[in-house]
Amino acid sequence: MTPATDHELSPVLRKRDAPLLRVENLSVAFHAPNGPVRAIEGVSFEVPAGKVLGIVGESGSGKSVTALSLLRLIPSEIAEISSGSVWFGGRDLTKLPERELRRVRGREIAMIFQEPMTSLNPIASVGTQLREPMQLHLGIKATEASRRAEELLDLVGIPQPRKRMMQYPHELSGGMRQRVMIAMALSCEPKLLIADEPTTALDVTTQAQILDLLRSLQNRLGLSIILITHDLGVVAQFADNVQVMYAGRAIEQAPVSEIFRQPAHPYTQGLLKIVADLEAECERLSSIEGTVPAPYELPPGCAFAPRCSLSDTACTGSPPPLSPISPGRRCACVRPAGFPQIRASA
Amino acid sequence: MKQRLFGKRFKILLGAGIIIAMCLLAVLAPYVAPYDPLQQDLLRRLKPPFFMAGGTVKNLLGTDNYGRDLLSRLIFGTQTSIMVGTASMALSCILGAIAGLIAGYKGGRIEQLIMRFADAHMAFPDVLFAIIMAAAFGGSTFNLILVLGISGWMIYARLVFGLVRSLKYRSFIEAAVSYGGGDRYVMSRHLLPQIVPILTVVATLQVAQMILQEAALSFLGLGLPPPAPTWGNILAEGRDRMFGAPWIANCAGVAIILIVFGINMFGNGLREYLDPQARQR
Amino acid sequence: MFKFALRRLVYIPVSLLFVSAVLFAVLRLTGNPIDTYLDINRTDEQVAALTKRLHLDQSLPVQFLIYLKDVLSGDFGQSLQFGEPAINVVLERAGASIQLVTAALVIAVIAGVLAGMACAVFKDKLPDFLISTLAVAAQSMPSFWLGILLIQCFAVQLRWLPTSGRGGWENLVLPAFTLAAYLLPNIILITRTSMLETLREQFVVTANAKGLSGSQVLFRHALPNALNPIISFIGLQIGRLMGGAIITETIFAWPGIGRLMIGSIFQRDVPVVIAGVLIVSVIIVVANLAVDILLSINDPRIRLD
Repeated sequence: MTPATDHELSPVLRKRDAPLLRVENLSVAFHAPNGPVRAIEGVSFEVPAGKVLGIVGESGSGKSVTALSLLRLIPSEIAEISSGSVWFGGRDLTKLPERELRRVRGREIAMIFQEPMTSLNPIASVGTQLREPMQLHLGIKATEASRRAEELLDLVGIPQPRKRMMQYPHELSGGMRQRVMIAMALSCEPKLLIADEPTTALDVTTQAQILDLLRSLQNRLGLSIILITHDLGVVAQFADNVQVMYAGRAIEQAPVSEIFRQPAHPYTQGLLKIVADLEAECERLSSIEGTVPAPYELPPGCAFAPRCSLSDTACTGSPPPLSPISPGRRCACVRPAGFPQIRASA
Repeated sequence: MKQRLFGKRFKILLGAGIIIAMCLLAVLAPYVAPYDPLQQDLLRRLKPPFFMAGGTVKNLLGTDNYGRDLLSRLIFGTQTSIMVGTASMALSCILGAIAGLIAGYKGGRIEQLIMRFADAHMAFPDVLFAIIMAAAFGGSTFNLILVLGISGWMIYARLVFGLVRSLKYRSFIEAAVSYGGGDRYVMSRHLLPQIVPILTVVATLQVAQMILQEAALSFLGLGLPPPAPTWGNILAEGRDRMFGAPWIANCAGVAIILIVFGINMFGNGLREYLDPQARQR
Repeated sequence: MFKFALRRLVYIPVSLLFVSAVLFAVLRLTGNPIDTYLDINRTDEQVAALTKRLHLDQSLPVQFLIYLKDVLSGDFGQSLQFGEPAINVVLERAGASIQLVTAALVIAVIAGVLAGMACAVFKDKLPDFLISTLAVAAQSMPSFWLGILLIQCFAVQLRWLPTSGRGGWENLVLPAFTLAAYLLPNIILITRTSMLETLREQFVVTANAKGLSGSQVLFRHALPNALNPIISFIGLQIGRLMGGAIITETIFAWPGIGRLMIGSIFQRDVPVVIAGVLIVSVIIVVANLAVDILLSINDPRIRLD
């Protein structure tokens, strides 16, 4: 089955193996009382094997919805994938029957979440929760699963693993709980790890520790990671490639090294300017005027146009598509900074 | 969308309608009831209701074992049910609200004492208490009200306690205390008005519970002694006649359901009205 | 966890002491005990002898202490109806009551929790609407009337089940269902609410992300976390359940403690009434303790007491 592509594959990716994960034109809509509301629209990206993709955006930009939708984890009463495909291992995850999707979840693609306290079952022991995916997917007996679980705890840097196995989540610190979540996610040796704001709820020191852990695991196991965050610093430290999201759309994609040096989209520029001002300890921080539009109040053209100093009538027609502007980079703007202007087609 | 039709207004109106109808029956019973509820007519024993074979319109709901008209007895039964229900609710409400108010506001030892006492009392079945009281004092309206009133205070105590505890640290209370308000002043002038709405809803719903329990106690023979026309008594008589005259028990059952349903409707509608954010059912 | 259970055990004697005190007060304050045993034709010697035997010549506090001693040793006097020690009369029938209550609890919990879960899973669809409406309607109904209805339907009309008495399992069915009806509607509604809240929690998403099936997530992760309010509710309702048992026993002529006590009131068999009340209190207190222990087994966070 040859997948039809609307967008060119970035040249960087063409030369290597096919990407581990390819998302094409993914759109998700919420069921609101007055009709469906768009959460994300036309999101396309790839995750190369063994690399880290950072997805950045403000609250409400759609980054978590994107992550959850990859595994169809949003209940169908709340939201639905209205169009698009998620290609993984030669199959479209959006069309897989539930039973087969369950075999992918936790086994080939694993996910960790933001709040380790509420993400773990409070009344089941750590050991029980660690053993569960292994017993389920790999058919391992309890004793063997316990042994492996202890090894995993060791792998993620938890001392006294045997003692921890008998404990309950509320008896561990935030950092330890997150490590347990990571251990749980890695228990069936997945190829891809989706991390939804894994460090947001942790203090700065613990944050650094967890990121280090993820990095070392990635190197050791050849893991691919999608890291969702609102923190540009985390992205700079940790990701290989970045996707910036705004109001439910992906508006810029680039390798980390390039995006910080030369942001193309006006929104990205605005974000980085704020960070630069902070670092330079300016007296007055610049800001991006205006606020993010609500999902049901989106302007017809580019969602950022009302706040953009460069916008004109070309920006209000239809949303600019995510187009390549240089090898390995894409941008959803007709006037990307430092790059030739894109004539909006049709 | 479908629920709008059966929303809170409908509930309040329907419930209020039933309650008012029942109250009117209770008040006007001597004029509305076709017969004297205690009048026996042994020639017309165990007649079925008019809509069953063998029934006549002379006794719309039939007669009981002693030939007494069932409809009249049921109408007079509203008197006992409503009176005992409301009075016992009032008693338990006052007792419980005061206890909860004091426990919540004062805190410390007093709170421990009162709330532990409430917990212990809650474990005790009120039927048991009624048994003791009936064994000791005999059955009468006053005793019924006393028993039910005492058995229900814990609900109000807990409710008010929880409310007061959360209100205690709000700024308007602090303000009142700061300009010299004593305990009683703060409790009566400031806390009480906040509590009254929810208390009203709970009290309304509790009347229904009290009526059910009064019927249960009468059914057991712990209430007003026969031949008093209480619904519980009628149910008890009906139970003995289930094979031959099921309408006695059934009509009494329907009467109880009707008034309890009406009160529950009204109370639930009231609750939705006062707190639109309350979770639906 | 043992410390927790031990702490709760202390409550038992305290509650029972309280109950005994109330009983004693009511008994002594209401009428002369002499009248219970002797009729109008009593002689003065009989009165004197009885006064001595019942310790009525002592002061009130002393009487209370003697009363307590008797209670603790299980001596409630002779039953006036049966001529045996009152405590034996009561204990003989305790088994029947416990059987009834246990059966009712099993029915109410299993049916209630499953129905409540169905409501949560099919929220706002037909099963939820039907079950919830029935549950709300059932709250308005006097449960003892339900018993009468069931007898009419299943015993009188259909003749499938007997109308009363204790015997094989077919005798247990109707009384157990009637008693279960005291708790069933509320258990359904509480389970529904609790499950709905639990299903919104983050760890349910995690469980799904691990690849568990819908029913695995429901029964292994969601339900245990939703049980706390349900268990607590049952603990609170034990008193009411025992009260309901008394009524149910009366309707179905079930030979338990409840029926015994009602009969004893009308026979003015005071020793049996006292013994019955105290035994029922013991049962309630022990049941409450069991519920508390159950709660802490289910949720390890509660053990820190």
